[in-house]
Amino acid sequence: MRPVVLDTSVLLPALISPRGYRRRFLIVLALGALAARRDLLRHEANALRAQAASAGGQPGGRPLETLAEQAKARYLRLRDALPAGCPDDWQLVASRPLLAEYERKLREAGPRLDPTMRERDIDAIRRQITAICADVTDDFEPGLIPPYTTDRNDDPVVHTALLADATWLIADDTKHICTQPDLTEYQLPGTDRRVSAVTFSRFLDHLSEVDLDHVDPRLLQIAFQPLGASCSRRTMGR
Amino acid sequence: MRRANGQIKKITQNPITECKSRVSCYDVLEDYPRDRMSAVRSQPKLLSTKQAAELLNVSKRTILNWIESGKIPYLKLPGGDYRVPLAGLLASLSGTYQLDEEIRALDERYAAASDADVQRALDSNEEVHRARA
Repeated sequence: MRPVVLDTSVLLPALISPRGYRRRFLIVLALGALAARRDLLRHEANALRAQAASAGGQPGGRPLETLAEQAKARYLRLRDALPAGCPDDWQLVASRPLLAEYERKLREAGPRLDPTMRERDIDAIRRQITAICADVTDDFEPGLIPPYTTDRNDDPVVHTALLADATWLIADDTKHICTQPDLTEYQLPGTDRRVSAVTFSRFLDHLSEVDLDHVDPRLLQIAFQPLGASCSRRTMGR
Repeated sequence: MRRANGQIKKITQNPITECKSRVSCYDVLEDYPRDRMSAVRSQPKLLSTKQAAELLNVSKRTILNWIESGKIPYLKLPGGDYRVPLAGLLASLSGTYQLDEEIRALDERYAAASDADVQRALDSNEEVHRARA
């Protein structure tokens, strides 16, 4: 697994603009989320059963085994639509404060992009972010984390990347996050845990396994399409 | 401290999560096979209904409604409280909402928007903040 954390400067263009390379990388991350779920949901099912047997409690609701089967089927469908050899171990990690920060930026900047952007659009975009996340770090209070950058609003993304032990923090904010020309390194105080922040264009130098030119940016729909639905030209909105 | 397989353990000894900034952490299930850790670093995590609501930015009542209608997986504890497995919750979003339709609608609406257009909106927002400051 190669966890990555995305700053708003990368994630929001990836979600809103269906044309760019950031969107294409987001599809690679969606494949990673499905791969993680395919494995993790089975273990969650076993762990819940063990918990119920040893300490009491009753599992219920949507069966985790069914969700695991669906994740596997969605994974295979998306993998088959992507170029051969597309990696499935890049995984998006977030945290509750980071999800809140994505939403805050979207709420503020969204109407500047599109004055007709409404609350339901913002809710939908936030849901999409959450659905693409392979994991969520433990919670933290943004006001209590160390000052990593010169902008307190940018500190949660750095802290999340450190908690996630992320391979990369990808940010196109060169004023506050990627302040060095190549790599900007951050360290979690009191530990030896570090993360390197890079711009998206620099990150592409490290993404040699897949040619993003061959990733159809409209494939994001496929990751979440109901099973049994065909990925026809009509359903992909062509 | 080790406990019997399957018991919920609160992370309290991890120097990373023990950071002063931590305000709450998610329960983990201990019997997760350690040989999987290299392939999938995530552990099964259980969220309270409040944590699940905060994560998805919905009300706690919405989470309880989803539990009662069987839309999301859960564990009902002997005391009557619920715990929601994190991966199960995230995976359930595809069935709870029509995510593919939402993406299609947004893609059609912003078909002409480029990464640079979105970046400009974000940048102008920052400039407004700086001007106010």
